[in-house]
Amino acid sequence: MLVGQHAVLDSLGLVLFAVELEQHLEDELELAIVLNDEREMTRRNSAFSSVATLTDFILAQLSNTTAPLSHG
Amino acid sequence: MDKQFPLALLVSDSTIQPLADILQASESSISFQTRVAPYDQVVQTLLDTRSQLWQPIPDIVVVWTRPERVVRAFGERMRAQPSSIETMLAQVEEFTELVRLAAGQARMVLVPTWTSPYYQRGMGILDWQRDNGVSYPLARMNLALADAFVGSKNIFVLDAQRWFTAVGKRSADPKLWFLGKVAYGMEVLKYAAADIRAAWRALNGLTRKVVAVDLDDTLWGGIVGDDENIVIGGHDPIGEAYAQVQTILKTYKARGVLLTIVSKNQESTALRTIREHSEMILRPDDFVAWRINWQDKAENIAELAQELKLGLDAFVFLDDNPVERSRVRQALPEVLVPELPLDKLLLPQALLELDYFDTSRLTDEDRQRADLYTMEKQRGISKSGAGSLQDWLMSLELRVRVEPLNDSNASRATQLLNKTNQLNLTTRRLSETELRAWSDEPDHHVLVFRVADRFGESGLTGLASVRAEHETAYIDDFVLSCRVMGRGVERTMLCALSELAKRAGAKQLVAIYRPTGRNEPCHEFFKNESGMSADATNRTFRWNLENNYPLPAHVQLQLAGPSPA
Repeated sequence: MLVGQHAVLDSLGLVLFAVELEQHLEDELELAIVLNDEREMTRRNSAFSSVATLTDFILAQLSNTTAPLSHG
Repeated sequence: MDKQFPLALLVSDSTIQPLADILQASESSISFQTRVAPYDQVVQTLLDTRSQLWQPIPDIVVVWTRPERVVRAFGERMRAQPSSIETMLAQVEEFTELVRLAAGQARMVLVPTWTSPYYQRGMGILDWQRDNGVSYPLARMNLALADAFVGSKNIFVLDAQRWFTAVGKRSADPKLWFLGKVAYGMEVLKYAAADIRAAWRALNGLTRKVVAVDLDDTLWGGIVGDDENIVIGGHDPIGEAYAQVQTILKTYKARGVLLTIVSKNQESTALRTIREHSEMILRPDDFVAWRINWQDKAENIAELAQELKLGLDAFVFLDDNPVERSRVRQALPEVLVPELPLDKLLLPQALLELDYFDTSRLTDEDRQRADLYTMEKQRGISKSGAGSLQDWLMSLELRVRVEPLNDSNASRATQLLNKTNQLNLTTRRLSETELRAWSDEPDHHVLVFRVADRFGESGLTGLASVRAEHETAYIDDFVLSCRVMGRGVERTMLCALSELAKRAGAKQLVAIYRPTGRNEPCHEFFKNESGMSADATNRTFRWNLENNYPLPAHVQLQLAGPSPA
C-alpha cells in the first residue's frame, strides 16, 4: 500500500515520491506525466493505492501521450 | 572510525523533514539523531532555548531560512515595492542576533546562505541595481550574514548557492513547494547533508590529515622511466589537468594537509623527475615522507602512518589504478580511498570535491604543519647519530612554555583537544565555547604547552586541565600532539600540573585513563613512565603532592603570564 491506513508513505513522503517519479520519467523517457494531482492522490480508489495501480495509471497515461516532451 | 550519532536540531521556515531523513541515513559513518522544529517557527524556536527541543543540548543546529521570510523588506523588493538596502540589512542583523543568542545553547550552529531559485528572474537587466534589483540585495544580505558571525567560534555559514549550482534546475521545484512546502529539491538536500557531515567531522577532529598519492597517471600523465616524456603542464589538455592536480594538492598542503607519496617505481628515477622536471609544481620538499618501491602499497601506507605517528584513519589514498585502490580498501579499511575518474580531465574536479579536509579553524600550526614534520625528520636523523637516548634528549635543548588558556591560544588549544587521539587521557571533545566555559568554572584550570628545541618551534602541542575537588586534583584532559611525544614533554606537563594542583590546595594529583581503542600510547606513558602509582585496575594513577614532581633534566620550563592558582 502506498497510501491509506497501512501505507508505507506518509503524506509528505507521497508528495516527494510522486515528484521524484515525475522527474525520473521526464529525465529518462522524456515523458511528461502529472502524478502529483492532489485529487488523484486523495480520491477513494486512488492510483496511488498500490504499486500495481500506480503502474497501471502510468501506462494508461503513456498510451494517451503521443509525443515526447518538446521545448517549443 | 567508530560510527557517530550526534544530535541535530533543524530549524526552518519550510518543510525540512526530508533533510532530517537524509541525515539519519545509516549508510554513512555519521548517522544523526534529528529533531525538527515546528514548521515556520524559526524566531520562536531560536528565542525559546529552554524548550524540550533544546534538551539535551544539540550537537548541531541548522537554521535554514528563506530570505523573503526572514527579511521582510527583501520580500517587498521581490514584489517590486520600495524598500531600502539599509532596512534589509537591519533585518538581517535582527536575525543574526537571534542566531547568536541561540548558539550559546548548541555546540555548533550552521546557517546556509540565502538563495533564490533559477526561475526567479527578478528585475531582468535591473536585477543587479542597488535600488531596483533582487540579486543585488540578496548578495549584500548574504555578506552581512557572513560578517555577522566572523568573531563567532561556533556559528558557520554554509554555501547553499553551491548546492543549487550543482543540482541545476531541480534545485527548487514549485510542485514540492505548493504540495508540501518543501523549498529545496532532494538533490540539494543531499548536498546540504554532505556539508553538514563534513562540518561535524571538522568540529570533532575527524578530518583527514595526510594524502598518500601515487605518481604515474595520478600526479602526472604516463609512466616515468618507461615513457620518454611524462605529461605535466604545457600546451596539452591532459598536461594542464595534471598541473591543476598538483596545484590542488599544494593548496591542501597550505591548509595543513601532509603530502606523501606511495608509488611503485624506481625511487631515484621518480625523485629526479620531481626534483628536475620543469613543469612540476610539487617538489620533494612538499612531501613529508614517501615510499617509492615495489612493495605492497597497503604495507607502505602502514609504514608511513608509523613514521608520521598518525593513525591510518588520517590517510586519504589517491591512485588511478582500481586494483591498487581495491587492495588498500580491503587491507586498510580505515584509509579513505575515493574513486577517481577514468577521464583524466575530470581528476582535478574529483580532488576539489573531497570534503574530508575541512577544519573548523585554520591556525598558524596548520599552515606550517609540513615544515614541522620536516623538522621532525631532522630530529630523527640527529637521534640516529646520538649515543644514548639521554644524550640525544640533552642535545635537543628542549624548551617548554606553559600558558593558561586565553583568548590568543584558545582556538589552537580546542583544535588540539579535538584532533588528538593517541596521547589523550580521556578523549574529551569540546567546542571552544565549551572549553572556555569549563575553564571559567571555579577550581577548573586549563594549561597549554608550547614546545621548541634547537631545530625550531613545534608550536602549541600540549594541553592539560585539572579540576580541584577537596584535596584531590583530577586531571580531566592530558593531551599531547604525537609530533612531540617521547621527549619528556609528558613529564614536564605533569610537573606543571602538580605545581598548579599544590597551589590549589590539593594533596594528591589523580589521572583516570579512559580507553578509546586509539589512546593506548597514553596508557603506556602513565603505566611505565609517569612515575605515578597505579591502582589495581591499572587505570587510575596518583601522585602524592607532598613530593615535588621532578622536571626532566633536559627540559627548560618557562612560565608565561600569571598562572592560575
